Amino acid sequence: MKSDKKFERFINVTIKEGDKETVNWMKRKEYWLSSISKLYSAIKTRWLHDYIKQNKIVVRQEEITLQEDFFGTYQTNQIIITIGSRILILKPIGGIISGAYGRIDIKGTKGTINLILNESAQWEYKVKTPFVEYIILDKHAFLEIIEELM
Amino acid sequence: MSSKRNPGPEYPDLIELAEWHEANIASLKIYKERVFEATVNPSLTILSKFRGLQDEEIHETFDLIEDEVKKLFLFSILSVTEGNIRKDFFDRINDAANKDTVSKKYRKLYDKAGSPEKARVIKLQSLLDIWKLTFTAQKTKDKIGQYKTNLHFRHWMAHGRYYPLGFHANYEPRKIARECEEIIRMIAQTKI
Repeated sequence: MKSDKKFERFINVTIKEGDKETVNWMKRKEYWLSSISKLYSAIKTRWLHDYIKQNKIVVRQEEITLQEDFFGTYQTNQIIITIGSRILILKPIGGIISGAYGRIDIKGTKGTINLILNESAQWEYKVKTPFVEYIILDKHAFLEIIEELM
Repeated sequence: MSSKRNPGPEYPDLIELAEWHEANIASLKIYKERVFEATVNPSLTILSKFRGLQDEEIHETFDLIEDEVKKLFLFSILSVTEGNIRKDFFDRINDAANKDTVSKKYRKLYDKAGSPEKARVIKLQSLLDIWKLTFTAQKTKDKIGQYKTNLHFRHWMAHGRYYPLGFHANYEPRKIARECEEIIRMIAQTKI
């Protein structure tokens, strides 16, 4: 049973390798990485800008290393948002995921919310209402997420 | 009291239930492939539930669903078997022509219960104990014993799994359906 599952995993990776020719993985990786940068930029220069300027919120960036089947090993950044003694981390999880072009998890003391990247370069966040839905992320939603998770 | 003599949605055939379980698992495997395909081609439409998953998470999610589907079908198989045993109980006590040992013992149980309503909630265990004493072949007794053990799982499911099952239920619907079908057939054929 266990070896069946292991073999199934091998098959799935092999099938994806077959599709490798048809996918421009380099372009996809660039899209994923540049979208992360654009999101961080929106957070720092627009969504939280006023609070950062007033030293009410501190945002710092840390380099992390990810490894994925067709992207190889690469560096990107996570950001850590600090308000008082509470922190929130936006951590990129991967660019090869189902039904989207990448995922960032927002982790706070009260839980985690997933962000996924769609093909229109928009970020969507996962909500349970109670069923799973994805809603486009904007400033208003992001501020609500901070409140909910911190 | 073979399930084949009670066709219709209220009394699904046990073997068919096991086959429906397999059809569900086969369908899940096809959908799982689609979700994997959506990692290569993200524009492929998949249910929201399965968006944003990495390979290992896809495996874990589908493992959970498969396990739940299996539990639900096992629950159906075990409870339909119970329904058949209870229907046989009422068939036997309602037909005065039944003079066999089991029918006599059943009537005693029924009289002790005092009313049809109370007879409906006689413990299944009591009915099975009668069968275990009636069958002489050890193999048959063992089958009843096995069904009684499997009932722990049926009760655990029926009561919302609020307590630990206490053991790892590694049941295969096909195997359990075959065993239960055999019990139902033996009960229907036994007029001793």
